[in-house]
Formats: sequence, structure tokens, C-alpha cells
Amino acid sequence: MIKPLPYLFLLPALLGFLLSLGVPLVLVGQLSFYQTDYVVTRFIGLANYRAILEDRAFIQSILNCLQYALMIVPLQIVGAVGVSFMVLDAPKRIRDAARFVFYVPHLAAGVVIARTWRWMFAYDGVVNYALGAVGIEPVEWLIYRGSAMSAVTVAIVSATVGTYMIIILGAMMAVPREIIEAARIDGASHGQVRREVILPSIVPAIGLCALLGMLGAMQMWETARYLTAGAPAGGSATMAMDIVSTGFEAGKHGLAAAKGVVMIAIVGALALVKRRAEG
Amino acid sequence: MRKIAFIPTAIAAVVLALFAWTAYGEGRAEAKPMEIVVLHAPTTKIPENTIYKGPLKGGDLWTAALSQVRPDITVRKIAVDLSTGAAMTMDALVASGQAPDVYLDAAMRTAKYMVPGFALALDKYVGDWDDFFPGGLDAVRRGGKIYGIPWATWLTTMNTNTDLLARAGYEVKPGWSIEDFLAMCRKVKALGDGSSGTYLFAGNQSSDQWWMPWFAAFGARYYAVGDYSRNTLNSPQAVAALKFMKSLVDEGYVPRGAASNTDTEALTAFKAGKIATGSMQAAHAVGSGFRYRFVEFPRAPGVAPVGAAAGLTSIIVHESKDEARNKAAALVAWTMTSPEAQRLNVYIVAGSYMSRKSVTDKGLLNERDDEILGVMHKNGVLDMGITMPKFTPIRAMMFPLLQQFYTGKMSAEDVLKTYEANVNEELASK
Repeated sequence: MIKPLPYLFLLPALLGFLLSLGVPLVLVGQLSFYQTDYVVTRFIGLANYRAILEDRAFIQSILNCLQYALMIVPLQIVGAVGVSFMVLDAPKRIRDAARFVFYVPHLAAGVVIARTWRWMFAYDGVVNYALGAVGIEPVEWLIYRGSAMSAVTVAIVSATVGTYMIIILGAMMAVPREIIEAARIDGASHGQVRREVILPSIVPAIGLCALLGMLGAMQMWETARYLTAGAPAGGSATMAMDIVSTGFEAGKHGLAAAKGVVMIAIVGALALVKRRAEG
Repeated sequence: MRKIAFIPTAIAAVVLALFAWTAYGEGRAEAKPMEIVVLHAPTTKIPENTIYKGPLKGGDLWTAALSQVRPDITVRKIAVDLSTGAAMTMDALVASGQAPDVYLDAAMRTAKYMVPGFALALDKYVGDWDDFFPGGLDAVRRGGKIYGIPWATWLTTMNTNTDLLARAGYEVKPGWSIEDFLAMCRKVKALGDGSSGTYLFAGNQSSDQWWMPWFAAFGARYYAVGDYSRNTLNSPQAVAALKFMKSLVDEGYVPRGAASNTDTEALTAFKAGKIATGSMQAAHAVGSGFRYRFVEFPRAPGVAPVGAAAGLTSIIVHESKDEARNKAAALVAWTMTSPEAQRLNVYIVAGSYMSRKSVTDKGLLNERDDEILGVMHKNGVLDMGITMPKFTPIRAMMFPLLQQFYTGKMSAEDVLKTYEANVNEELASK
């Protein structure tokens, strides 16, 4: 016999999902078959999807997002794990303070983070000043693809490592003390306990952080938009930036919707591949 | 079990009660005045150098006038988000079915919406069109009907920081040439304090009137006179202009990072006193802590004087199925452009110039406005195609090319060839 009570409790969340995500997704899918600037609208079938195949800027943005994911996620994981290990054995107040300090940047608006780092990566900014102090020539960070993407990576990692640190540290602290003590009794060193006992135990948490980090990198918009504006010539642009530009600057909302559908498909496929790889 | 069953029942009862109360309240709501929604470009503060000392801000004057004529109309204003230079706010409202009744913005953005069926043909709703300058009316006419009201004209030409130039030992003379300009840049750079002759940016598409006149300074044209069907920029003159702009970057006559710098950074640097020249409106320079003077752009030998870059601001009214709403919205739009509102709202608030012939109060204008208007009267207006319906998507096509050009990844010839192909493809598309 089906019990209605659990579904009644699920109803608000389900309604919220449908209204905020499900219905818009369907409408975007529908819009992708039209050519519209919201003043004049006409049905064009698959023409938008055919146009995407020849849209070099959008294809470049897809490659950029994949590259961002490869650059950002490992740094997020290594940073979060490293900081977590540093405070794992510290007194509680130190751990709590570390959580606070590393999480605070995440609370700032993305625009603020991007603008602050843009100021720091300016030719006469703090980063070049620090490089100059150790005898390195100043770099024009924001006008070359590699350095511009690196700047975005640094901005994202600095703002998000705190979030993943909270997840990873929580997972580390949840490792049963008995296993750690048993390893110590067996003669494992401090480093061996961390490498051979704690790290394998937190692999699910690391997997979750990697998935979240990848999804975030693939959908990134405001940090790249306000730090590099996609310069040079789309070399650091993301899919979301291209979609916003196509829709709201070029006025091609149908094409932007089609690109949105493609973006959802790519991100969904990557998430699925990752879940399958984890078994 | 009874306790557990009570909780969801109680929640459901509260939710149902809330719905019922809301529906009952809506039913009992008294008839409200007709609300006309106005989406407008952000207003600026009243500059200090104005003659108006009254209590009303520019925007309030016309709403006060409106309330005397039609007290049954109220106006709700929404400001446009211009962070990308795009029509994002308007598009979002239209897409959600909440198109504003009245939309006031630069013609480069309103032009897209001047389409029969979307915009209201205003000919039969309001009158005294003869009071408007003909050029402004031409920009809002489609198929012989008038789909917008010219609100204001903004003008830009080259602004010069005369204090910085005096320190560098340079004075701008009328009719100055490209060589004179380069001599000025050398002197400013020689100061050695980080000051630059001018500013170039390609990081965003806004304020492109800052660098677009350089093409005219070398004799290139964006479009043939009166013909916006194809772009004509790709020319030896435009190649020379681009190479000149690149030389400014390579010689260090502009701040570093031209490929990624933005218009906000350009204006900030100018108002901080670090930049000797830059193209802008009079209103943009207000608050600068130094003396400045507007002059014409320098030009290459044999090239005609460069006109003031101009743009029109216009108002459109969204056509509704409710004729009463059409009449009310048309009246609101007309009141916004009344001579009294223009005298204060247009100039003092927006720092632009009037679109009506009858508003010629010289007392409103100051020395800086006279300088800019002087360039326009002497050299005419620079046609960048700003009133074209497709100006917004087209203007986004140059700055990515400039980014590659300034970093040496693209030649001037390739920039212009690619730009021409992209623009003409857009112009030919439906």
C-alpha cells in the first residue's frame, strides 16, 4: 500500500524544482527551435543547432571550460585536503577559526571577487609588485590566454577552497578513531596514517568535491566575465559567457537557448561519466 | 499516529487559508490608478555647474506635470542595467511578458524595438512634431510612421586635461594633426610619472565612441552616406588608423593592457588626472579635479575635420491591446519630452542636449558644452550607424578583433576583413 505521507513532505521541494528548474528547462528547449529577439519570432527547426557546429567562439568556450575544470578542480582538492590536514590535529578553536577564515571569501559576491583579483592582476597591481620583489619582470596577466585563465583559476580556487575544506575536514573527522589507533599500534607513522588510512577513507568526500568543482567550473560566468571579460578574443571565455553574449548582446535568444541546451547536455554527460567511473 | 497525522493536516490547512485570504483580498481591492511602467536609462546627478537651484530633480518635474493633467495615472520607474551596454533588462522584461509601457534609452538599444506591432505608432496620439529637430525624427520613423520620440542627443569629442598638458609643456592648437598628437604623447610620456597621452581599451564593447573616431581621423567611413546596407570600413584609411592605434600601444602612449582594459577603467584613469586626452561627453568629465577643454579630434593630412560623435536617446511606447493604456502611455512619453522637462531633465540630469527647437535656453549650457557643440556645428556629426536597428549586435564585433590586434595576433588587414564579413553577414540576415 502506498503511503502518501512521504510524498506530501516531498511536494514543496518537488514543486520548487519544477517551477525553478523543470519548467524553465522545457521552455529553453522550446525556444531553441526559434529565431527571436523577443520582438520578432519565427520557427526555424534545427537551424540553431546547425549554427552551433560552425560557431568557433562557442566551441572555444567549451574547450576553455574543460581546461578550467582540469586546472581548477585539482587545485581545489589539493588545497582543501592540505589545509584540512594542517588543522586536523589542532585544538577545536583553531579548526573553527580556520574554517571561518577560509570560508569567508566564498561569502563575497562573485563580482567583488573578480574585480578585486582584476585589480591585483593589473600591470601595476599587487601580484606584479610581489613578483618584482623577487626579481621577476611584471606580466600582463590579462591579455594573454594562458595567464588570463590562470588568473581566473586563482580567483576561483581562492574563493572556493574554504567550502571544500569544510566538507573534507568533516569527512576526516568522521574517520573512526579506532582505525587510526589500530594503524598506529601496527607501527604506522604520522604520514602513513594520513596517506594510507585517512585519505582512502575520505575518497567519497573528495569525489563529491571534485564533482561540485567540475560542475562549477563548467558553469562559471561572473568571475571570468568581470576579471577578464573573456579576453583575449574569447580565449578565456566560458560557455555561460558566450550564451549571455549571444542572447543579450547579439539579441539571438533562440541561438542562446540552443547553446544552453548543449551546455546542459555536456555538463550532464560529464557528471554521468564521473558517477559511472566511481562505480 | 494521531500526532503525526495532525502535522501535515495543519500545514495544508494553513496554506489553504493563506490562498483563500489572498484571493479574497484581491477581490476586494479597490480600483487603482492606471500604472504606467517606465524603463529608463539611469539618471545622473545634477551637475554642480547648472543654473537650476530648485528642489525638484529632473525626473520629478515631468511626473509632477503629468499628475496635474492626469491624476489617474501613476508612473513606476525601473532603471536599466547598463553594465554590459546591452538591452538585457528590456529583453528580460519582454521575455517574461512584462514589457514596460514606456522605454527610454539610447537609440542604439531602442532602435531594435521600433517595430510595428511592438512599438506604438505615435503619430495619432501626440502632436507638435515640428518642434523636434528633423534628424532626430528621421531616426524614429519607420515606413513613414513615427515609432519613437527623440529625447536627447549626446555628443562626444576629444577632452583634454589642460593641467596635465601644461605640465608636459604642450598646448592643443585648432586643426591639430596626427603628428601634433604624437608629439603631445611623447611630451606626456616624458613626464615619467605614469601619465599617458590617451587611453585605448578593447575589454568591453561600451563607450566605443572613445576610439571609433580614430577611423574618421584617417578618412575611413563606417557606412556610405545614407546607406546602412553594408559596412564600408575595410579600406586603406582604416588600415592606417588601426596601425596608428597599435603604435600608441607599442610606444607606451596609452596605459598597458589595452587588449583587456575597459571603458570604466579609461574614464576612471582620466578623472584621476593620469590621461591627457580622451573622447567623452561633457557630463562624464564632471567632477574631475583639474581643468579640461573639449577640442576636435586630430586628423591625418588631407582628411576632412572629424565630427562630434553623436547618439540619440529616444523613447518608445509598447503597443497594448488596451487603447486606454496606449493613450496613457503615449501621454507619459510626451510629458517626458515636454519643453519644460527637456530644459531640466535632458540637460541637467542626463548631461545631453535637447531634441526640441524651442528649448534653446543658452543659460543652461556652460563653456564645455559650447566647446562640444562648437565642434558639431563646425565639423558636423560623425556617423557610426548608431541609430541602425542592428547596431547593438554589430558593435560587439569589433572589440574581440581589437583584442587580438593589440596583442599582435592579428594584422590590421585581417581585422578589417573579418569585421567587414561579420558585419555584412549580420546586416544581410533577417
